[in-house]
Amino acid sequence: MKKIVMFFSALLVVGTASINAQNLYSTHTGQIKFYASTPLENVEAVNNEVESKMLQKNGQIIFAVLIQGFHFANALMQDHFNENYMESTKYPKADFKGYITNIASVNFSKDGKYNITGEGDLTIHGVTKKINTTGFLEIAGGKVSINSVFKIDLKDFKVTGSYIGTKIAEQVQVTVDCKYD
Amino acid sequence: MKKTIRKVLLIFSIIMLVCISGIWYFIFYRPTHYQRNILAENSISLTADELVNNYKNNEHKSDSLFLNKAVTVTGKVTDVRKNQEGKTIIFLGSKDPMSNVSCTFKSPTNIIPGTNVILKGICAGYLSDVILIDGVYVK
Repeated sequence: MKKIVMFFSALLVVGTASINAQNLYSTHTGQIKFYASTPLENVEAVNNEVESKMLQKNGQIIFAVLIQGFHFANALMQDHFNENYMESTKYPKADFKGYITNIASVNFSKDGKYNITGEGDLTIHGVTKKINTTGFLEIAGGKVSINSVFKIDLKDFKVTGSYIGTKIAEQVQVTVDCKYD
Repeated sequence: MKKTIRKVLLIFSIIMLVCISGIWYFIFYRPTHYQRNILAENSISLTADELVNNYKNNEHKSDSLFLNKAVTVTGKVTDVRKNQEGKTIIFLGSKDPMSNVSCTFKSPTNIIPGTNVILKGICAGYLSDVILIDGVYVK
């Protein structure tokens, strides 16, 4: 009986160790901002409930965000964004699934700022598109954070509306800022 | 004759004033100052576990029930965190440790882990947690 207990506790220890060795970084409170302002109108919003997971081993990374969670300073604009442009009842989420392609160049045991490149599938408004982006991964006191800024064309994601091109920019700048637990 | 002109002018300027203040209110003031009064809104009341289960079983149906609606949730606080903007997030546990209710508060709160609370927020949908935004403390 003792042996069995010992075997299972050993298994448990090994099991947890191997989970740690995978080094999965995650957060539920990442931040994504977007900026689509024109001289006519200030269009920007922020979402602070971004879920992201990143595997150190192969650089696999995912981000998921709820469209309803984007906050605008202008509440009316927020309603229009959800109802007319993003159709958030039909497409409640946006996500990115991909890889940090040069994860091998990051030394996770040394503090610093590392340039990274990413590629993967970005899904917005029910449309999936391959994107390439650059950014940096920062390690400070064992904490990992990722920053990236990239631009997307609204027409690529079939987001349409009467103000796009006049009050709303056709190209939207997206800023990702995720501090992992 | 002069009196009628004066009357017409007076009425005309009153109408103009109403129009201008109306335009100012609806185009400039209201969009930036309007806020949903979540505490006063009708809401669906349920436990954190029921809300999570609803979403786990049928996300699409749950979205049609809860998305962008005020929801009152009863549950036990498992964690209190700050998001990257410094706002407080209260996590209410469900029977599934991988899936909780996360509620981002509008203003600071002194809720502590381990207490049983009733919160109200607007449902934004489901990732691995059910996410409520604009949260307020009820009880």
